[in-house]
Amino acid sequence: MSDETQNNIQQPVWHIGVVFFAACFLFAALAAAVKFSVKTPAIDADRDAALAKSLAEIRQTEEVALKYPGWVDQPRGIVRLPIDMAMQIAAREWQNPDTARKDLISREEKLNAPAPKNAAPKANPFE
Amino acid sequence: MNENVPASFADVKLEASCRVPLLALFGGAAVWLVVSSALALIASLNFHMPEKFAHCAWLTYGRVFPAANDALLYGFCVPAGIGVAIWILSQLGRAPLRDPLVPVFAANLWHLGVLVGLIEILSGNTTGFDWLEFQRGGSVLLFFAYLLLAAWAMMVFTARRERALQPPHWFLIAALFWFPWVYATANLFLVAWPVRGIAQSVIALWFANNFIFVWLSLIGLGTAFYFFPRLIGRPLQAVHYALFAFWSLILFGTFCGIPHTAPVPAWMPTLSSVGGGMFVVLLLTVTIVEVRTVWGFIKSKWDNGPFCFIGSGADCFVISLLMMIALACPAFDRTAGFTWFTQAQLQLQIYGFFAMTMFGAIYYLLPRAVDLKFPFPKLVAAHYWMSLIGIVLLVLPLAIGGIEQGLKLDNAKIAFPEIMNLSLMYLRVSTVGICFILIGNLLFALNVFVMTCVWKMALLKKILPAINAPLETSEVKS
Repeated sequence: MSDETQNNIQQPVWHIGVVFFAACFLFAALAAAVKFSVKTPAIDADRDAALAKSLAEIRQTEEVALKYPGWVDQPRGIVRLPIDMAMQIAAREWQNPDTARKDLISREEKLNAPAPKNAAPKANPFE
Repeated sequence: MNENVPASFADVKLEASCRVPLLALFGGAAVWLVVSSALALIASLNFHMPEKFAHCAWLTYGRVFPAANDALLYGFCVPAGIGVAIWILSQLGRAPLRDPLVPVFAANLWHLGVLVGLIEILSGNTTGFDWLEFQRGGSVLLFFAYLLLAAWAMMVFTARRERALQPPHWFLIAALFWFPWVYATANLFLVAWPVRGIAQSVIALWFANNFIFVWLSLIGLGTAFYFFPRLIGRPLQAVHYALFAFWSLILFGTFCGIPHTAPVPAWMPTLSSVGGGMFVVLLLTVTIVEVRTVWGFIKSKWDNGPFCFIGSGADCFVISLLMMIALACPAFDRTAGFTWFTQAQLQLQIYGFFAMTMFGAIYYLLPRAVDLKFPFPKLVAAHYWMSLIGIVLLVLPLAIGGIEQGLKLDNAKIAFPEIMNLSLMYLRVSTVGICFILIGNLLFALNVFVMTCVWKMALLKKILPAINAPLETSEVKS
């Protein structure tokens, strides 16, 4: 047996096993690094914030509708009124019942008048 | 190398260093192989005799099928592959395995991990990912056991006296690193810290392909490229083609395995198809190496034993690769993707190619490592023919049935239950195939066990006189 061969037999190789272990754990470490470096928020992490935002929007819309007058259908003259304002107008108008009744009937006819016919829809070029 | 040459003292020492670890690895592998075949038989019977097992939740298809697959893959394939790799590295490098008790401990730890994992699957606790069903307990045991075994294989490789690297070295060393990479990554991202949405299915498919196709191919081809020259007695021909095979497997194998039917972004299956198409290079190179090495020796070396097992394994690899390339074509995958055809390809890859190659290697190396002959040499030939017939009866009906099933599923005029009834005939034939495989595996296990028992008895006979010997007077006085 040559000297080189004899040296190879006696050469310690346990460090290769340790390096192999470390190399294999490197794969796990890489996976862990990806996991902890890429922050992905949980699916329902912003659920409370989204709900609160929607609720605030609903409340704001309701507040505007309750407290301020606005158009419901401007061509037909339909408006939305806060109840207090509507009561004051009704009390003032009905001081003269005949005029008020006529006004009411005319407004009711205007409300129920048939809607103006729209122009024929354009042909769909894709059909 | 000629096996008729009498073994030198160094050869005997080399073989003896691997003896106990190999017995521990192959003994357990033989048990899991039989368990896997028995579970596969129950799973197959569930299709045409569902009432037989309906009363027992442990034996329902959803539990038995993954248990059979995992028992075959983790129970047999990995320990057999690692054992054969350690022996080949030791032989090629002329370096003995040092401190063999550590690999023995690791082998037993591995088998314990498989047992824990299988009990979990059969009791209904799985991760739900194909080929990665073992829960954390089993997975951690498997990972550490593998690291110990592979670390010792690396130490054998480093201590080699023959410094020149040969084709089996490339394949086996790459395989040693491949498994911890894919197994750790898949377990961490699917079980420990599950990622979200489609990333889960992508990682599961990536793991399955890298384990079943790349890892098994690395070990199997490395083994075949070592044993062909050794059994025939002439060097491996067309070595440069083996290098092509190695790099095409490493480069293209890793991003294959995502079918067109998978619910993932379209670019992923497209890229996977490109990788699958590039396997033509692997197919051609492996075929060239095998044919140029073996051609002209088939009749003279036909032994109904190791040569036949490894030769059939290499042929199955080529056919399995052809099926895989076909599945990479989008038009064919849309027809056969969700059918029994994919199962046929998987079984051919795992059992036809890998298990057959391992049987050949074990039948060759175990008598040399243990320094005993197999107690029933005729059963080796019986095992070969049983396995071959079993593989044909298992794979062929599933492949034909799968294509017919796919074509009929594309036809809206045929009702779904009618298509399922048509595939029953193919399933019955495949059940017969599994029966043949089970019988073959029992013969293999019988040979391994009786040989292990004979070796243990011989060891006991050597030890007993030493134990029973009367103590010398001087020792008594002291």
